[in-house]
Amino acid sequence: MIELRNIAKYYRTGSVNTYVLRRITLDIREGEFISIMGPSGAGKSTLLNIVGMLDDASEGEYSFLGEPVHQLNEKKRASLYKEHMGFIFQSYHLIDELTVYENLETPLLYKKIKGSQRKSMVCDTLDRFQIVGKKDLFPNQLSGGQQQLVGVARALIANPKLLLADEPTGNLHSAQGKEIMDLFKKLNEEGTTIIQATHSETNSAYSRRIIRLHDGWLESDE
Amino acid sequence: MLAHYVRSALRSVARQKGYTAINIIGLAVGMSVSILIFQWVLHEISYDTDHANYNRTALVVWARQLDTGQQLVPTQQSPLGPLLKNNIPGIEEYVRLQEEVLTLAHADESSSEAVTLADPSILSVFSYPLVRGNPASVLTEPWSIVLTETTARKYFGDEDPIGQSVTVEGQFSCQVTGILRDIPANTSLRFDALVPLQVLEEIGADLDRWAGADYTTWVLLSETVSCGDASAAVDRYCRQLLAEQRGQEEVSDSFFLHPLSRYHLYSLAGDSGRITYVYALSVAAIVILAIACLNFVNLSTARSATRTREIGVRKVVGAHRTQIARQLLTESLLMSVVSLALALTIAELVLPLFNELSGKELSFHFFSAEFVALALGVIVITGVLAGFYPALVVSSLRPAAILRSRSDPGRSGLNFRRVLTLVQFGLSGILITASVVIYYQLDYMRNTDLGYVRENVVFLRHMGGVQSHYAAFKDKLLESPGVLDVTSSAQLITHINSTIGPNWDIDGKDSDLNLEIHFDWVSFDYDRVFGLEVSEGRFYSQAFPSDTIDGIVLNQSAVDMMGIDDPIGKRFTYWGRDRRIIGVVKDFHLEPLDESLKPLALIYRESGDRVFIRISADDIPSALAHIESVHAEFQPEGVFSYGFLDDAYQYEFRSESRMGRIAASAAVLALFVACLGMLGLASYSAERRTKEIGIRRVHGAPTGAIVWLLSREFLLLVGVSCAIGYPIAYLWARNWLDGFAYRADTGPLIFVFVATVSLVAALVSVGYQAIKAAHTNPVEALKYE
Ligand SMILES: Nc1ncnc2c1ncn2[C@@H]1O[C@H](COP(=O)(O)OP(=O)(O)O)[C@@H](O)[C@H]1O
Ligand SMILES: [Mg+2]
Repeated sequence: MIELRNIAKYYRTGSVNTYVLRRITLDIREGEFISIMGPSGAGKSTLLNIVGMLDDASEGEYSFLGEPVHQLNEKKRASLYKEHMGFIFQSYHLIDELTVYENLETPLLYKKIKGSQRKSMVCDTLDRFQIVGKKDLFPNQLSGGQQQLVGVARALIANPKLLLADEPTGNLHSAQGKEIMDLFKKLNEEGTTIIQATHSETNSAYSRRIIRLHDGWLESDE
Repeated sequence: MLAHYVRSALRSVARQKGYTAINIIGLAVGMSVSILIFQWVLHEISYDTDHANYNRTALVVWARQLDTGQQLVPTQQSPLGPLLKNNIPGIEEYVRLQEEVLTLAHADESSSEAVTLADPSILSVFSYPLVRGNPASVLTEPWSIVLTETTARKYFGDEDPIGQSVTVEGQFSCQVTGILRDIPANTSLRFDALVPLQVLEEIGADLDRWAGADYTTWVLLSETVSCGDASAAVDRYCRQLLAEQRGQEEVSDSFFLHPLSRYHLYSLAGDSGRITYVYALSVAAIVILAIACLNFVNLSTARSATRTREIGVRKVVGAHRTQIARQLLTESLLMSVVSLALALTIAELVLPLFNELSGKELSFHFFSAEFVALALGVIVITGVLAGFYPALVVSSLRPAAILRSRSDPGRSGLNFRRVLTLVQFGLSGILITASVVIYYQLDYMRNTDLGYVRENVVFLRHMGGVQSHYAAFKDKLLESPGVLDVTSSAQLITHINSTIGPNWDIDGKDSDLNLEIHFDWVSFDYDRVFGLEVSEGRFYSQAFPSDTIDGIVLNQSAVDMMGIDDPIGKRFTYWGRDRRIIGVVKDFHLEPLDESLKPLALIYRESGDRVFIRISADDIPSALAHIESVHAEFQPEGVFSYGFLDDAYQYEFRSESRMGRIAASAAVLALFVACLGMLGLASYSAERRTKEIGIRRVHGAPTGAIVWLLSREFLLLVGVSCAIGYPIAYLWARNWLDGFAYRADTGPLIFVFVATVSLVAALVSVGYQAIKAAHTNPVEALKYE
């Protein structure tokens, strides 16, 4: 599904390039549940962003479902992303101005899904995550765990093949975190490919493959 | 999708009420000011367009070449009109007019009205529709009168006026033959009643005789001839005529046609007139609109910069950049539509005030094509500009970059906003400078010493029968201690434009001298009423009975220009009458806006059309009461209407004053809008730097330091904008002032003043935010980071 070849990412600081990722080569098959681990600043988010097409690699090749991402134009990439991926953030990143219902609806709007179908998809999702009662609340009226639940729901609403999660439980206490992890496990069993960045061993225990990063180097892959 | 855009726009607008209000109010104020000014401009340029022959009617103007300069005379001798019609093929018709203010009376009603004496062709050359009567016949009988609807209602109420009679000046009876529709405000030639010009022949004038150039003469051109060609033909014909009359080979005078289409806006000389105000205010309106739009763009981009996170998130959930751009555009268009609605409301509400300021009676035609086009243009331009820049910048960022918490979204477009702020303050600074310069110049003109005293001089508007008892009337007036001096003359001292013509002579006259000597008929004490200084000899005096028979008083310029040494006792002959010079008065200005000093003869006459009374400043009301009672005694049926000379003088500057006031209001509002913008930016800046401020506070920064931190950038911007605006304003002011005979001195103090005003205004708008930010609890500030 995902093939990374010699992916590198650097930032220009002054006249030198500071590498954040170095020569990462990685294959990920459909149906995997992977944790990317490493200390803070190791490059976990950067890698996830590159895989999620939210950022571009400085060097290397990346193909997703056989498409050479590094060669695609923005429009093509956006549609590839829209079609197949969902993203979850540590700080939820819900849209403050929109209600829970509207937040869930947004990706469908951008996918130009028709009104009635959109409505039924949102309602199904609200049901599935048991947040029907919260649908008219705004994000700031929810607890962190509830917000992250909405974040997950939003990422999954269009049934993506690949779920990317950047420290999804980082801002949650353990009970809430466990709920999310159980959900991930169930999703993965239903066929969704999941890549999560985390530095919690508890969370990584849910996954079947762990990739360790250190200073931008791929340290181990087990 | 649109519903979604509108909904999120409304939500985000509602969430940031303060910014939204600032943004919308700023644009609305700017728009309403320019809407009002554009209405004014449209009204100005619509003058006289109601006349069907608007494009082929023109005024005959005589350009006289005198040694004191060129004099443009808009009135002609009476036989000229018919001659032009008969001898110049391009001229189809002529109308001669004399505009008078006469007392009309019927039954109990008596008051003064603007009465125009005109040839019957006035109703075919111009379009003054009749509601009663036949245009071909209403002015054919000499003793007829045509009233406007309002005038008719005033004198006759609900009665039928046709066939009834109106008493003119208490002595003539005219029969009402027709009723005119009321004349619209945007018409140059206005009157309350029309009387056939022919009536002058009934009271002794001979319209076929070449005498005084007293008749405004308009001509109607045929459709095939251009105004330029007709003008050249008129010039050729009239010069020839004049040369024959004067028995000369050639004359240096010339003639031309001044088209009706230029009559209201351009002076006869063609280069100035109200058109300068039209241009100046149009520029002001555009500048204010520009400031308001810049403001809107500025605040919108600042606001969207604080929303990069939202935009990043939208991209993450699948938004394409065109979708983001559309959302931002929807938002800014929505705001500009709301602003327009508010602007229309404001404009409608302040219209009465604006009418008072501008001396107009404008009403709105919101649905005229120009208006809709203008409004749409403004909405689209501001909306798109305001939405486009952020749409372009923000939506092109990669989401990963946007969502990194450490990046500072507020910084994007910061330089762009700085430039806009600079431009805003620069423009409003220029506007303020311009209005201050205008104010100075007006003030200077109004208070210029013209060589005579204007204060505490009362004049009667209507002499009526008083004229024949002038001496007794004067004695009676002087009985009150409040009345100091009384005199009479034919013209207002503020406008002495009659001239003796070439018909004057002195001993040893230089035959090449083509000097036009102005004159007025004056009575005893003219010098005392107006405080004229007699530099040689004496003024007409009752102690010297021969003064009034063979004496003459000249002014200093007349004596100098004619080259008379030792003038007292020398001969001065006008119109064949020999006089001895008995006195020379110091020069005064014969026109308020003419800096040149003209030669003048003050010729004695027992009484003229006007009475001037110098009263004591101590008790003006009782002096006025005395004058009124004396007037009533001499003129029981007459209307007592008086004016102060100084008021009449100030009245001359009414359009300049109005211009000045409109410009000043516009400038203040421009600054207001610019300050609103700055207030908005300052609060964004404070918000953006909350964390920085918190950290500085934790480390012990005093309030003053924080306020300075937040304000200095803005003050610097204002300073720079003043520095850029100064030379522009200076060049404009110099150019504008060049057009005036008397020029106010506009030193650099004005610019210091404007810079101070701008800085203080900016400081006030930024200062509040800065102080508020400096006082927030640092723990509060850091909690959210
Ligand atoms: N825009 C940027 N400019 C410079 N350095 C960056 C930028 N973004 C990330 N980095 C650096 O990249 C490194 C990896 O960051 P990140 O991928 O967020 O690490 P992790 O998620 O593992 O904590 C960090 O040292 C960070 O400072
Ligand atoms: Mg990270």
